[in-house]
Amino acid sequence: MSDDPKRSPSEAWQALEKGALRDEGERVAKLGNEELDASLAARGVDPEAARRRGAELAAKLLAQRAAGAAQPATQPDGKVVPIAAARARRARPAALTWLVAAAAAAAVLGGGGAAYVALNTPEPAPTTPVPTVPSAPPGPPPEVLAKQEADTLRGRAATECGATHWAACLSSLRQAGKLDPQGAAARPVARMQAKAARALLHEELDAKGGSVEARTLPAKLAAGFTTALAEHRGQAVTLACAPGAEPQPLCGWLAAALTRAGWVVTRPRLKAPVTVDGQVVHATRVLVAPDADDATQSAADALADALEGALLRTSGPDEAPAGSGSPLTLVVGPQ
Amino acid sequence: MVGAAAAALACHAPASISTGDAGAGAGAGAEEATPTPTCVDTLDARLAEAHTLYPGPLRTAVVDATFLYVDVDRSPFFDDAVALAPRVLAALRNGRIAPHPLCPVTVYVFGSRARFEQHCSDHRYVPDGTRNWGVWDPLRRDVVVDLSGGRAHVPTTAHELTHVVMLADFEAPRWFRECVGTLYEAPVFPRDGDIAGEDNWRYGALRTAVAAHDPRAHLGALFGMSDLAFRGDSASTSALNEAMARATCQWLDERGALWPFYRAWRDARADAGDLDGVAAFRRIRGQTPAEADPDWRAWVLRRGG
Repeated sequence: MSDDPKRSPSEAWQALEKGALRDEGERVAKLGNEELDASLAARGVDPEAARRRGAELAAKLLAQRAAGAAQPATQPDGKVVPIAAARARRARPAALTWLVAAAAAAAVLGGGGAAYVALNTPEPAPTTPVPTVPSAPPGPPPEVLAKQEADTLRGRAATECGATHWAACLSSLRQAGKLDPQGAAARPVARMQAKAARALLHEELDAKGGSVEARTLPAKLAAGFTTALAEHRGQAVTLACAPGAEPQPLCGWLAAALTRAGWVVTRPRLKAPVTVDGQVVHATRVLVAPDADDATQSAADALADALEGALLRTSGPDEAPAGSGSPLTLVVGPQ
Repeated sequence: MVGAAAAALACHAPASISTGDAGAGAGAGAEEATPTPTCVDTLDARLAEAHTLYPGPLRTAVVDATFLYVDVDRSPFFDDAVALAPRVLAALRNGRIAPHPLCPVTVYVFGSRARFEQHCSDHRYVPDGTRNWGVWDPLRRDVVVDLSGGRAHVPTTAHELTHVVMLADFEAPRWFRECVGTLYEAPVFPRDGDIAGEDNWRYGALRTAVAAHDPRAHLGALFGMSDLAFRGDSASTSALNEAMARATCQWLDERGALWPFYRAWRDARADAGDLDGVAAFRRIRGQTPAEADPDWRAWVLRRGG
């Protein structure tokens, strides 16, 4: 549809072009700037201001890059510091801000409030005397600066996603992805991006729903579901189905489709629907243990996407509550 | 071939239809598309996209130089859907929704449930409840309708067209968008340029809820309801909210109050006021939604459908 030369899906959406998130990523990446602007404007975010921020950032980075070639690394008091020490110092806040951003993202994904800690934490003062050397080291490498800015943007995105400002969140993540494509591939970021993309689409859609009927998994969609998950053959999953005449048949179809995909399904017999934080889980929800291995985390992402592909209302992957006892759980609640 | 020149920005000229049976690459008319800074694409581009999605001969029609109807799988009701559009658009623009220039929209019409579901799956159009019969995706500017249920489902297109023209006029909360949209999914046309909604299947569950004094089912519930709450966390809540929304618009319309209320609320919100619509309602009806609730409930209990 839109053929906007300004956007660069391969650059900004690199993470989403992998695995089961690919389709969704492509779909959202195809949104033109005008479409995203419309969504931003509708939510009180000035698209022009957002673009201006980006331009200012680019100018700043370019200026710093130019200055970096000639500027020695100096302390505020004028002392010249060794290259390695200067780089190490610069690297610390970057790592710190990244961890904080990731933690904030995890808090959002876990369903809790986004406790976004200010990313501009003052750098710790050096604790050991720094010998001076008569060299003129370069300034901060542009990629480090870009990553710092990307981390800041991702922290902001976590706050925006936590406040369900999905369009603004996606915009921040897009900007961050352009500055730091590698960071966009990190799981918390990719998951936040996929979640925001899904939520934005759901928020915008106006649909004519039908009367309430028992959920089904039509054969063609079931086949697609199985195909999408076959890549994760051997994955163990607990299928926690609410009791009752409606969820049970759906659970049976899902169990069969998962088994056809080569997944190892455990289906405990529950006497009551699953609750999380005291609330009954409706529709379906994917829960994954925070310490689950990478393959399980990846399978959780694929499962959430495949459920949506099967047109089943889904939330997650969310962090499983402590003590849930299963690395990966698919909760099927009442409608 | 799509006869109407693919004007990227169509104004509210009298609704018109042109039809075609274009193969891929046949183009959308001899005239060059008119690029505008407002719209991200043209009818030509949309036709090309439809052919990419569904290769092979494709029956199409353009309504109002804006809506590209695509007969994906030879639906027997495609022509009915196309014929309905000008009547709906003319009526909506007749003293109801203020007409605005519209960017092109593609209307994918499906005669097969399975094909419709596959399209929805590909685009992740996940229903709030059990199933969707129609979808308006304002990000892509696509309408998708399932006419596999027969001729009775053709007015689903009216529901979705209402969303399209309303979005250009009033960025309303979801409950009010559905209030207006659902009203016209069962339309009647008393005369040219006029439209109303009649009772439909949504009222069965609503009557039951109102009769049972379900605390969720009252007129005041919708005013100030967030989009998220309107969707609900369960299929039954979503369906109940949709039914309440429809009943609210039909109830207002029968009292000649729907469009005065619409305009009053739209204008207030444009000035960042009356976020929940209560002030506009009071201005038009002379009472709050809570005060009007007994009348609304009695009206609901008399509904058919």
